[in-house]
Amino acid sequence: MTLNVPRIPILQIENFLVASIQTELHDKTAIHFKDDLLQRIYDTKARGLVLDLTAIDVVDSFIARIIGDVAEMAGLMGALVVVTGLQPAVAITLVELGVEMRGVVTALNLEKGIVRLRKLVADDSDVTQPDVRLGETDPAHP
Amino acid sequence: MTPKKTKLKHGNKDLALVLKSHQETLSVQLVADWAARLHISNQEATLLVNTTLAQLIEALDSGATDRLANPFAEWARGQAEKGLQAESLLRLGHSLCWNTWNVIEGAGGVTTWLRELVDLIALAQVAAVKAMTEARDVQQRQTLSLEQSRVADMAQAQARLTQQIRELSSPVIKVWEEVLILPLVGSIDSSRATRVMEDLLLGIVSHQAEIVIIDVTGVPVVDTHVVTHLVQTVKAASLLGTQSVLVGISAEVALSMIHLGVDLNEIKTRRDLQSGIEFALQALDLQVVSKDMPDIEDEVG
Amino acid sequence: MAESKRVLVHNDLDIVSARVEGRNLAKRLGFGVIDQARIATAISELARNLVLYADGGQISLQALEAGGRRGIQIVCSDEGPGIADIDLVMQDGYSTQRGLGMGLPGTRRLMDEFEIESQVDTGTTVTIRKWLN
Repeated sequence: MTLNVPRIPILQIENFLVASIQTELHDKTAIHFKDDLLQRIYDTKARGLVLDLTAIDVVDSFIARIIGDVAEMAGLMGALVVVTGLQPAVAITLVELGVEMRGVVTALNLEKGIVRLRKLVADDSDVTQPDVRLGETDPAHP
Repeated sequence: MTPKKTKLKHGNKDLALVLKSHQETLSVQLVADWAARLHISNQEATLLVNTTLAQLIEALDSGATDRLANPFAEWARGQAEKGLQAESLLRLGHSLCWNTWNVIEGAGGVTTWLRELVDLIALAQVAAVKAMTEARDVQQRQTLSLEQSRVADMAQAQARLTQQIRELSSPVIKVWEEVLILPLVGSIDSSRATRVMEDLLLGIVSHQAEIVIIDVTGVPVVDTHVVTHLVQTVKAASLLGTQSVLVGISAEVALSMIHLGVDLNEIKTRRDLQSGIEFALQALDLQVVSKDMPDIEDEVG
Repeated sequence: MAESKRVLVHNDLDIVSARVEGRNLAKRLGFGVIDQARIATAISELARNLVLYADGGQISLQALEAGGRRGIQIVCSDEGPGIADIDLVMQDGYSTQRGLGMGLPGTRRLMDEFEIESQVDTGTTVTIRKWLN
């Protein structure tokens, strides 16, 4: 029995790649997708990637790990990754599962993701850990 | 806006004649003065003075006050964009009056004429300042700045609203484009914490929020469980690309958060709601400025 | 009438089937969207363990009714190598040589009830339940 694994389309906008996952993500699909993506980043020398997960309603530890891997490897190739469209239910589940996606910057939707990516690429040079922003804290006055 | 046309009462044409005959002397004095006040070259000042005098004389001659007011207002509007302050404008008006009076007195003129001159110049100034503030309003709207008092009002309204919130609800309130406040009142147990997190995320999606301010001022006991839930909520929000700010955290709670191993670099905190709102607005490149325009109409005429 | 469904899990496609069935049942029982995600994700984690560590197994999905409350029960069982040290795998941060954990502590957090039985060389059974409020 041969498996016809659907490939996820990867588009190019400006010097970024945009991939929107619209179908159920089987493990094999996910792994092929990761390989395709990394190949495309290499071929196009893309500076960034927007990964849209609007249609995904389950992200388990395995998928989260793949996303983290994509971000890490893309980073090694000089591309920044922004994940967009995480559903609230998925975000809550990920946090409760205790899974962290290190190195992944997120935005609410595709449009905000592209804006974010443009900004990040513009101030690039020394972006190392874009997962969490540093801020000042102000422990309250007595 | 056009100032109302008034007929000057006494000898306008006479005053106009006097001014015409002493225009050169007056001009020299005004040029020196205005160049200094406006920090412009003598050439520029000469042009400005001569134009103003010509318009003043025209206005006196014809009795139509807008002959002075309108051009002056237009000039002021243009100058406002280059940074002219209303205070400088008033000083110009004062200078014009003073120097003209000197000339009239020197010419043996009747000082009752002065009153009308002052009125005329005053009208022009009012028109000019109004034009300036209009120009500045447009500028301000473009840079989207807020008066501090408005931010304080927002915080006050929020505090009033919080008092009305019952323990079981956790509404999310939009205070500005892309800025939400989540006020928490009362004790927070595990199941409530989960509901709060769910409501917050749904609110983030529906309002497209970039920043959420979580206000725990109304939570009497912020223990380790509550802190853990808050941290989870902040993490979940950040997965949606939203920044969070915790406000109302006392020093004791902040300490216990550190002991719990909470990375305070991940979670921003501010002392009170107003600071939280200011932080949020600044993070969105919105400015908070103080209100500073004096009320001009009281000072003139 | 209690609904019940059994899904055999041997490969990655089955993992997806199991969680889709689980979500559908949860939806029919009246669980909200977020709980549906929790249930589906928990099933996904357990099903993946079957594929990765146990050479397949089965997942049974069941509607529950007790004390006036409705809920869902998922039983995940295999005849694999079993778990020698259950306490170890129930710790956060535990991971196998492949760098993947078994996702059990996380699964427990997502659900209301969690039970695990395992015997070396015999197999493992994990039972999880979630109740409607």
